Amino acid sequence: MYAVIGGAGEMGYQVARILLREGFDLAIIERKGERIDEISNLDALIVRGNAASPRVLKNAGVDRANIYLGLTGSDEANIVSCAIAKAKGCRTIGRIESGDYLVEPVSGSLSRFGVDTAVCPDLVASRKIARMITTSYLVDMEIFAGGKLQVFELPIRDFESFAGAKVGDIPMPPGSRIIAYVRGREIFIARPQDQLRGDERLIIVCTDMRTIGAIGEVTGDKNLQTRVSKIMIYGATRVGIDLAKSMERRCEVILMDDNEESCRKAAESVKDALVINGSATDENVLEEEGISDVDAFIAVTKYEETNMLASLLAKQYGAKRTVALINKGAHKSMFERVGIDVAISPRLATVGVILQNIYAGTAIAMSVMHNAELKIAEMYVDASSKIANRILRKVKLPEGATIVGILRGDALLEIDDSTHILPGDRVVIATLADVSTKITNIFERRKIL
Amino acid sequence: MNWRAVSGNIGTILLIISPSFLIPIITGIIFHEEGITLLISYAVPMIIMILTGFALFQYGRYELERLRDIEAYFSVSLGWLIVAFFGSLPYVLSGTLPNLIDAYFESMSGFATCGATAIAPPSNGDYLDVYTHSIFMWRALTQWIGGIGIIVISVAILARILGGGVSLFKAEASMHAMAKVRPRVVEYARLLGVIYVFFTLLETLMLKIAGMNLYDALTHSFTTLATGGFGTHAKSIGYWDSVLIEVIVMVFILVGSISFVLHYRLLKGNLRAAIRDDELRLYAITLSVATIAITFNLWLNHVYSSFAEALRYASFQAISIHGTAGFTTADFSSWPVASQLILVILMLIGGCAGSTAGAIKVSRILVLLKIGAREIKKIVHPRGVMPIRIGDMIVPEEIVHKISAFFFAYIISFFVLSVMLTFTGLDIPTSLSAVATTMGGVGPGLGAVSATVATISPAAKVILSFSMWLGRLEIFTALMLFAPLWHRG
Repeated sequence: MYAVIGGAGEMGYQVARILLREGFDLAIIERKGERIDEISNLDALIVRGNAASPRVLKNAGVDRANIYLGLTGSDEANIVSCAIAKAKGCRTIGRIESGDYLVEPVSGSLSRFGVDTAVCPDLVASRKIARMITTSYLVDMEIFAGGKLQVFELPIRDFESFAGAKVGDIPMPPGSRIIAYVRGREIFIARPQDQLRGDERLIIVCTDMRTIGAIGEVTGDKNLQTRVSKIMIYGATRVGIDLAKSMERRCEVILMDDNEESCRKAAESVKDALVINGSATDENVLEEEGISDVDAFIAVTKYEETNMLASLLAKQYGAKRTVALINKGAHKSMFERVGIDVAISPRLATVGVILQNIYAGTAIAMSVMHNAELKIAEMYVDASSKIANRILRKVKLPEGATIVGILRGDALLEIDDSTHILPGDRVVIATLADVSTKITNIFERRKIL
Repeated sequence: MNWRAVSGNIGTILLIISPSFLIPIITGIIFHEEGITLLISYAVPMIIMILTGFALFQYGRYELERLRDIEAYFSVSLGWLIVAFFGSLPYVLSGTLPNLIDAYFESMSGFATCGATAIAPPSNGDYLDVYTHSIFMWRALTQWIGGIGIIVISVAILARILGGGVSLFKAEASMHAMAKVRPRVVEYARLLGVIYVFFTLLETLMLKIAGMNLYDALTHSFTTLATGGFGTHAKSIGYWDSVLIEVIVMVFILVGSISFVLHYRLLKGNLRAAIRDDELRLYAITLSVATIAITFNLWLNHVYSSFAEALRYASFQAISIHGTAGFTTADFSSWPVASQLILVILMLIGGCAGSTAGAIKVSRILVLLKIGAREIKKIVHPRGVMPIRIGDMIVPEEIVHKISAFFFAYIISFFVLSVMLTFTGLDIPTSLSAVATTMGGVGPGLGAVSATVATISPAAKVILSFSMWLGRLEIFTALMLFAPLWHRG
């Protein structure tokens, strides 16, 4: 597969990194010289210039590319470059930020301008936050198998009982399993014999979200089960307003912003949410609006430092859980280390959505977690797949991969070593980024010739 | 002030209205009235009106294009007074009301779609035994003209300064390119006029079928759609004592007192517009609460023997007063005090914006209620940003201020005029109800003004004529008459 990426910002870079590991041939178009130096470690053809220029696109080899990704910071450049690439026969995915062009997180509405799939990072982030809140557990969560499998990341709060414990010995509630853990900056697929230190973040799969309270008991996270009845959003940005709109029917929503004009605009587009003109870094305002009974405080202003400060302050004043928007994906672990429950980067969240759409052919659903280090995909077992008609015990999975669940028809299978994989099954599989190509192989059709 | 433009505008209004004198003349011919009297009563005023209108128009026709907002308001305000003067001439010339103050009161009551009358019910027999058919046709017609006039004005002008029409006109206008608003206003006004005529003819037909003669059916349709309330019988609608006629009149008072823009949408098949209309919903609530309260008040005080009868009279009076028509089927000034007070409150509220009804209007009450609720909420959330919504639309803060100011001005005017009335020797219930009923364009009041104002002093009639004009033109437009005093250039 040959892909051309327009724009090597954070989003373009992350997508490029993953695609290279997946074995793609890649060309990257970037305008800024200093950025080109920063990405020169990538094993890709790097073309300097404007992605919307037909000549630059031609130099990047768009004529023989299978897929074009318009990921620059400019909507117009993305639309134009997608249109050109489309004319050359590429499938196209474009990043569109403006609400004037796009009102849904992922949409085909711009396809007649050559953008097959348009993706809006702000809306992707806001819907992701909304999903996290409405399932009421406020953990970074992905859904597979039509909602029957949930994969999420949880920090260990109960350090004492985890320190030194083996993964296999942890009494997880029925229907849930630890599939991986994050230690420091590294991620590992969990094997029963692995010994934990107690400072890890666990990646857990569960089949029934009702057991999450029990999971929280195990990890020492008491607030996990709390039903959300009041949330406070700081920042009347596009993410903030979209989040307020999708939440206002389900719980009490307070939307806060320092700027009076932004408040007025926000107040006109929300219905039941209460808009407050004030700063969430001002303790008086927080107390005035009853921060102590807020179930989730979500800071989504443009400035991540403000988001961090406001979230920490809100936590101090009794907000049960906090979410902060970050601009740089790399800051995620830093935010979470200082005590913010979830840090979300719109661009990183969008990377997952883009990958999902690249794999639209082979994988049914796909997601990346933890800075794209862990890939979880729902794969379809074709009659001619190598894995079809095998017993699970005999499937040789590479190191760094694990089966999360198997779906037959609409039912989730109880899996053990003797489970038979049949054509038509859907297998949800988690892999570390660097081995994921090997996984794709076992689902591929056997070559007939 | 561009006097030529004002003159041209008023001249145009006079020329448009002047042919309406032909209708009482035709009526008179049909009813075999004396030719000379008909000529003197209607043809002479018509000719004077045409000549005056033509002269004013000629003086200002080339400046008409330069008409600015202030001149438009000024000419509406002054024009209403002038039209009422021409309208009063037939009463004087026919000898119906020889005193010009009485005649002017009657004419203003007509053009302001009020319905209060200076004509005393004859001691022997009914109105038409004593007075001519032509003059009562003229009386009804003035209300019909006033009704269509106020719809056009409220849609075309008032929406822009007062916010009364905000829920109807601006909402629709914002869906289209704002640059095209001007031609749309004309188009709109024409459409609403067609709807007005359509409903008038429909009601005439229904009243005829229900048992009225054609003359009564037509005059009553004129005054129902205009929510005016002039009748042709001393006992108003009570004359027929027919439930069917009462129901028809009630329905058409409702039609006249809800927004004509809503009618337009309904006729285009947009049923959701009516269901989702916040103003209409509040109107339905106030109307039903008032009806139920009065019904029980009447029933428990044994004013009527049965509950059904109490409901029949309570609902007619409530709709007629709330919709500011002012037809009656009972003398409510002899009802228990609670019922009287509720009716006076309804006089102050009035019908919906964009209709022929008068008074404060339900949409403004709705906004005022929301302002009140917002202030309470602001105590809990001092930094809250809470725009006021009517349906899906945000009411701009500027309009919110204008509505508050209007309410204040209305209440102040109400009290000042009431105090002035008490100086003429009237008692408190009479004074308060007389001002409420005339400012709101309703008609009947309490005490000395329950059926006719014939017995009150000339000074009081002048005050009430002023009150009708002030209320009909929603105070601020009326006060534009005094604009030249402070506006230069």
